[in-house]
Amino acid sequence: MSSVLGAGVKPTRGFLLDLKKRVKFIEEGYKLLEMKRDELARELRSNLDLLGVKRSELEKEFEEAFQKLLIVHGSVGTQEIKSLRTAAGKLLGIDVMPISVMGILVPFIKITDKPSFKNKYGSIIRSAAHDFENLLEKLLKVTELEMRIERIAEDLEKTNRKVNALEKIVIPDYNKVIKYIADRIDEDMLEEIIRTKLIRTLIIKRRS
Amino acid sequence: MSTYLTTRCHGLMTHLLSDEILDALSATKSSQEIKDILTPTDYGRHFREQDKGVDFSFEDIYSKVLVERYNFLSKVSTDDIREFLISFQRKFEIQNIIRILRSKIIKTTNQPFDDILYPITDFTKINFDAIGEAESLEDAIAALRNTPYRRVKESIDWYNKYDSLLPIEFGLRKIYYNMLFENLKRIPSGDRKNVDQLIRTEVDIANCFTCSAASVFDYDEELIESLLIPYTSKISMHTLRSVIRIDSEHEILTLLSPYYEVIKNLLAKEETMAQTEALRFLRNKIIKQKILESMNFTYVLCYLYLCEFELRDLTFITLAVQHNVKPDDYLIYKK
Repeated sequence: MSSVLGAGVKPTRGFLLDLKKRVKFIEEGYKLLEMKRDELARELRSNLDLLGVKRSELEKEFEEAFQKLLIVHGSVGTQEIKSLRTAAGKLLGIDVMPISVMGILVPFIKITDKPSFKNKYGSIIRSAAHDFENLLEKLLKVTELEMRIERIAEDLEKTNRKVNALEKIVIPDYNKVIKYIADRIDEDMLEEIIRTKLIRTLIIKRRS
Repeated sequence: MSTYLTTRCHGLMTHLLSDEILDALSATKSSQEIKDILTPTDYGRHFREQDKGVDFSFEDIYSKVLVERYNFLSKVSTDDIREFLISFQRKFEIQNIIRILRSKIIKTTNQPFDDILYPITDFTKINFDAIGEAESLEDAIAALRNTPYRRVKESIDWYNKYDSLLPIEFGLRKIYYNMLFENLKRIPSGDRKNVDQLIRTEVDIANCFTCSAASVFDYDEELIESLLIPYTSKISMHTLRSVIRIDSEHEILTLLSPYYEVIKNLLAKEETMAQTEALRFLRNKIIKQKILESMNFTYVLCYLYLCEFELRDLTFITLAVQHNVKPDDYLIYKK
């Protein structure tokens, strides 16, 4: 009969009551998932807006920093730039930790070791190094936001699929089964009434 | 004594690239066009070798030509002048040492360093390989023990205190200037004052760049003070020390007014522009000296400075063309 219940459908009153309870529970879940979907969509939209702003800011700053670096590169030459790569002393170290947002695990980037440019660079390169030092943190923040958006979008997709499945398949299927069982019970009741009436008519005929 | 050398420099001066050639290079769109323009010049020989398959970058070629020009002058000089020219040329030696030492800071990397060194071989007795093979910065500095730079180990405490190579870099530069000024006595007495002033102007500019770091980039005052090179010209060490402790831009500009344009750009964090202004300032001084001292040794030094400026201009234009930087964006940095 149904893709949801398979062959286990019993057209009984007890089963019907059980099904109705189940549908009520599913509908409550559906409403909750719908709320979650709306909330995730709102979160995604606001994060996307934020990302749009931050990313364009970052791109602009990167463009300026790279332009400055290109000029510095031209001024000091490739050999000097190559040798200056290591002058900061440290490499960037990060820890990526999961934090939960509405039950979704999103990454949180913690900087554990940061190359410091203060007191490290001589003339010409200082300003470009300083710009890139500031950009590193911003870049990580944007990366974190992008990952957050990706995870929210993935979860939104899953939630959406669940909501759609409940809305378009599970609940209508249950309702169909309920209707089928209710119809069967009604038919059975009608049969019973007619049978009772027939028997009553037969009994009356025999007595008369 | 130096007349022959000066006369040769008059001839060599004609080999320097003219403003017209530099303008033509700025108008190019590709490396091939740059190569075509430079082929009839001193750089042509190396470009032909490059065509035969020798792996040189443009910048390698420019550095090679600069070093060859220095070497040629050293070869045709008398002993005393040669000694001075070699000590002048040691700036490339210390630059090479600094570049190798930088690679020792991050101990996790063992980068090849051959491609970052000036191709100096004729006068240097420094074993760059030994410095490069050292396990640590301390070992690399220890490898300098039998060289004129042995005293740089005194800067290691500063290096440890600030976790910065700057004290060692500037320690090497101080030794360089010390040797250079000691060797001034080897050049003709009539030229000493002019040459002394040219080098001191260079030091002044370097000191301006150094002391501006305290107010602009919040570098440690004590560290900056230790980096100052004492051979000053227009700005005394006392003034430089006081500039380190001043935050007011107006006061800094007033105290360092001989280099107003340079300082103005430094305070605006426009360091490349500041460098361009500094080179313009130095270049104007050199051009004046070149005309006034056209038959003296000072002319030789002017020629060498102009060779260095040519290297900077060529590197700048080539990299700008290779990176597709719009001419309007980089021509303002041309001297």
